[in-house]
Amino acid sequence: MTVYFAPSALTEAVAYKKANPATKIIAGGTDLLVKFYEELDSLAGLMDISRLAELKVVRTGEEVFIGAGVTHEEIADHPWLQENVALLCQGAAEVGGPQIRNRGTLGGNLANASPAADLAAPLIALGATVELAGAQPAALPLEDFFTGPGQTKLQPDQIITGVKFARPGANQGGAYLKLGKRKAMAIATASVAVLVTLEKGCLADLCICLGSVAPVPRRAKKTEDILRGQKLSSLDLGPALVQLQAEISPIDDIRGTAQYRRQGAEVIFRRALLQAINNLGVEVNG
Amino acid sequence: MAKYPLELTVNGQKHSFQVEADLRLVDLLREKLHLLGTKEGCGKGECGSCTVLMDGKSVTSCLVLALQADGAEIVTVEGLGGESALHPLQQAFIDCGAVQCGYCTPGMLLSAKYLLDNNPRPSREEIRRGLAGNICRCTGYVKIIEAIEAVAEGRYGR
Repeated sequence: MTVYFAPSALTEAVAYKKANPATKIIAGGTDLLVKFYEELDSLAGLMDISRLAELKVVRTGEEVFIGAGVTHEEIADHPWLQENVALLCQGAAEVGGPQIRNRGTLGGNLANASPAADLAAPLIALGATVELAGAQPAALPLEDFFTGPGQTKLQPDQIITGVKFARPGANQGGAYLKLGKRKAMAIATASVAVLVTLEKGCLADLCICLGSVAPVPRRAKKTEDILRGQKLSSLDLGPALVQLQAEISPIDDIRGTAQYRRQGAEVIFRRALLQAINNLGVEVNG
Repeated sequence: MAKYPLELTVNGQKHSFQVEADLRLVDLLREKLHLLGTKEGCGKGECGSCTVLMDGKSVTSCLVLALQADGAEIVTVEGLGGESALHPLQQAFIDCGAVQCGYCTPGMLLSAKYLLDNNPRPSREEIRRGLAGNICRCTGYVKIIEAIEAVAEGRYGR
């Protein structure tokens, strides 16, 4: 029979997880119950962190913190986040439908570690670190957190408490685009988040992260290298698009073929890049 | 078998239970409270027929453990209105022919209520997005959208 425990404070949750490392953590349950409902008995137990107030915090400012228990709907509808990190709100708004967004959480989206996770790509593009509670508090770049489909560096005694990232500057713009079978309720066939930094008419810096085209959300660093420093007036996407193909490794599955993903990734990457630049009020062709 | 205490409010009435951890909110509503308006369709959060309001927010009750609703306020379709006093959305669904087999209707009504609670004058596109988590296999959605528009336009009072 399933053992159930709902801690009332984070310290209590950490102590319980240390004593019961095999316990599964449940928050919104929108992934966990889909996967495990018919075999809940096989789980060592459930620790329900869905009502932990400490994980529901959003701190805005030069350094942004979003707690693991914040729901997709709360991110998508957050006025300050919409103003400052629209690409993250776009990702949150793309998750499932309203009912799923009302339950599903940021921490769950990361812990579930789907290569298609709609929050992972925008957060990686923002350079986010994931904060972990455990015997020792720890933080690591989200980019390095995922190790394979459904797999992360999270240790059995650790709990994701949230993500942290710097507020993008006035010369930084972003976009998140998702290709799926429907406009809603679809798991991404391919997705891309782009964050650009513009200086003196140049693409001074950028970060590209793609979803659903590799075993983990994948940075396209060499594609970034090709584009970094280019003048916006003579932006040449050709070589970058060739490099992009070399940095992804999509597979055939029920949501699409590898070939379709390659074509789709290229299209949405181009659109996202131009959208990110346009969002800063700069017209550009490419 | 281990049982855990649970207190929650359903359609304005307080209830206390001792339940097992694997009982879902949809099971509690249907089997313990005999509120059969809430339907289970897919059991995977895809179809929306088990939609209820939990603390004012629409949720698929097949993906919420009953114990996760401890302390919560739940509204099911029975709490929306009854035969003697239909909710405007219910009356609009009838008038617009938005009901065929009826299986999706309770979930559609609660998703529509959540939408209008947060956005009283939604565009047609916003209505469609608001219903994105509810599947109807009969109507083709058009009459459901028209019924919600009718309420949003104030044709059923405010």
